[in-house]
Amino acid sequence: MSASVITVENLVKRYKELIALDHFNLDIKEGEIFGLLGPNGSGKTTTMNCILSLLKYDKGVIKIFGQEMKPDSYEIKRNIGVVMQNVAVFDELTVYDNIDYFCGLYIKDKATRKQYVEEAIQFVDIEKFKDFYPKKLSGGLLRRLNIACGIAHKPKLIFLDEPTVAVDPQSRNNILEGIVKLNQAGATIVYTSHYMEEVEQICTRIMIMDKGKNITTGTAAELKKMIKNTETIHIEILNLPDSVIAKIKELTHVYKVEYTDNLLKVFYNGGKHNLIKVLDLLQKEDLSFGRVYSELPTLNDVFLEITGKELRD
Amino acid sequence: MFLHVYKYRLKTIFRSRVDLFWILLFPLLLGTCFYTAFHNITKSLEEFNTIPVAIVCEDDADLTFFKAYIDALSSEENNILSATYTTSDEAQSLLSDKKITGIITFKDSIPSLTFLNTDSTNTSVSQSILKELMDSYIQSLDILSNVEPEDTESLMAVIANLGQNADYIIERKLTDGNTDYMLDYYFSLIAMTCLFGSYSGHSCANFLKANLSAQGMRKCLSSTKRLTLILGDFFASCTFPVISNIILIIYLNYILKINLGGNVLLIILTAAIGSIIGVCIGLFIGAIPGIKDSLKNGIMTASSLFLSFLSGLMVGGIKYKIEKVVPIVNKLNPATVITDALYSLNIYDTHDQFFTCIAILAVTIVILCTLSYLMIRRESYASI
Repeated sequence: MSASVITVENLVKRYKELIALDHFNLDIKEGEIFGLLGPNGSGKTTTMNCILSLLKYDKGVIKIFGQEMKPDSYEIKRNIGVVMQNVAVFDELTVYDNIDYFCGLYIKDKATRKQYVEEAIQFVDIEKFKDFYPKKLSGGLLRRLNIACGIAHKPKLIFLDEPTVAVDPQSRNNILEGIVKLNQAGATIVYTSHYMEEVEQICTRIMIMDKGKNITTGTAAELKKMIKNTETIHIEILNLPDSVIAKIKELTHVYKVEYTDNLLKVFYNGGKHNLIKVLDLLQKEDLSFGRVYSELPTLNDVFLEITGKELRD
Repeated sequence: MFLHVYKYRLKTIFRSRVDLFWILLFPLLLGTCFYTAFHNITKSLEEFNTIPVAIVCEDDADLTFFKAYIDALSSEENNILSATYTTSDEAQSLLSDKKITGIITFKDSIPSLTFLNTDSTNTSVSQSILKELMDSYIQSLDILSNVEPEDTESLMAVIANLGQNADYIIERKLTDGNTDYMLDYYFSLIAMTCLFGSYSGHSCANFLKANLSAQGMRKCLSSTKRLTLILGDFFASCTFPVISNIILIIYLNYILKINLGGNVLLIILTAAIGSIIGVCIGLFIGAIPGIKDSLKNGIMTASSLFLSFLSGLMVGGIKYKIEKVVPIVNKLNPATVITDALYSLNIYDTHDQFFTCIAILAVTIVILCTLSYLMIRRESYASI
């Protein structure tokens, strides 16, 4: 069993009357890519800021690398890298200078720093732009610069707060691949996002948050097992008689059927070859149909089933 | 670590177009405008020394004695008068054309003065000098008439006294400094440049506090000690306005050839301390929580210009009026204290007044720095 890198016990954070974090608990192990998933306002960033001692909290204990985290815990901070949601660079400094500046806040030795900065530039693949000023960079390159500034000092623990917001798909894939590489190089990653696909793609363990509470934690597969739905089949079909809908409901593993706007949705809680079975039935009833597709459950379905609302609300 | 922080903060400021314009270029432009506007006025005032006058004799009076008196005043040594002996009509014409200050008319051996402007409340300095000269002449003439011609000793004493009068009227400077009152505008300009350092102080606070900027947040999360970050950023923020002020002073003093009076190094010292005040004001305003950044910028611009206005940037002599009514305002207004320090360097032979001003500025710096530090030092916030 890996050692705990972050432990949070009974964390409570209030903004006047609003309870942002309600007796929140967290345990992140070394080498994990831990995803904090939740809708906007669920408390992901507040959790991160409390862990980093940027925010004062009302109650609870936070430990990083086994030591209590305080605002002046500079030794702990030396091993932490943060990539914030907002791009935190200086417009007046070049790409190289920005990375060198932030790296220099952790690394005193000039030669080591130079090497680290070069490696960070290579890592995010912005060698061609190192003499550019941030205003001349595209959104994707700017995000990569933001990441380089946060990880250049080779931290053991990296916090990434929605690093792919407003990034094009290609840059997003580059960023996600980079995060996995960082993890493979030995860093523990805490990744917050409201993009469930990203979290599902890269995180080894996921916590779903809502209203400052831990709703559930586990791997993507474990979370999906928590819900009833295993597959949803969608079929475009005109004028489906009620008698046929009743027959579909009686098929094995079907627990719900919806038919609205000429779209049939059949929900399963298990079973194999479900699509073939439902199409067989429709053929026997001599009904023609259009587009057919099957969907496996997503983390959104998990969130929907547990909280009764969409993750992206 | 301090040097690393200092170097990059300085780089940031030197590449900030806003800071470059307001702290460096704008004062140079305004200084050039002042020079263009005031140069001719100063020049005409400098050419005031010799008073042109016409002398008209309306009868056959003996002017030997008077001519000797006028010659003494017109001599190269004294150079107070430039006399023209002419007719009454010609003299009136010269007076109308403002080519002379006045006419001395002799009638019955008694001189009388005629000026273009007869309003006694509006007499110029030249007219006053002329009046003084004629009064002195008449007084001496009166004494002379009472002296027996045989009493050569008394006669010589009166004549000697007459000659000395010229010495009394010779322009004597109360100070070795530059008494050009236009200098107040340049002093206010330097004070304004000092206060514009507040822009630098504001961005310093902005980039230090995690609840004000993403860059501030990243700094807060770093393993560099808070005090090192604050000191590095603060000293770099002070460096740029100080350099800007030195450039301004060199530009005024050595390129535009404006004699700022006093020791240039002490002028630079005053400007340096003033610049730190400006940075401290910006740092203090910037560190106040709960105010929008745009509003803070507005407050700084308005306060810098208003304080400079009170020190005489737009209306000359306003600080003297304030001194009569509410002198405490002048003591609290850093722009006025800066101009007072520069004025005292220029005018006074001793540095007592100068060091009083510097002490006031130093106390202000300590107060503002302490208050700002209390607001900036924290690394943990109630909300971000």
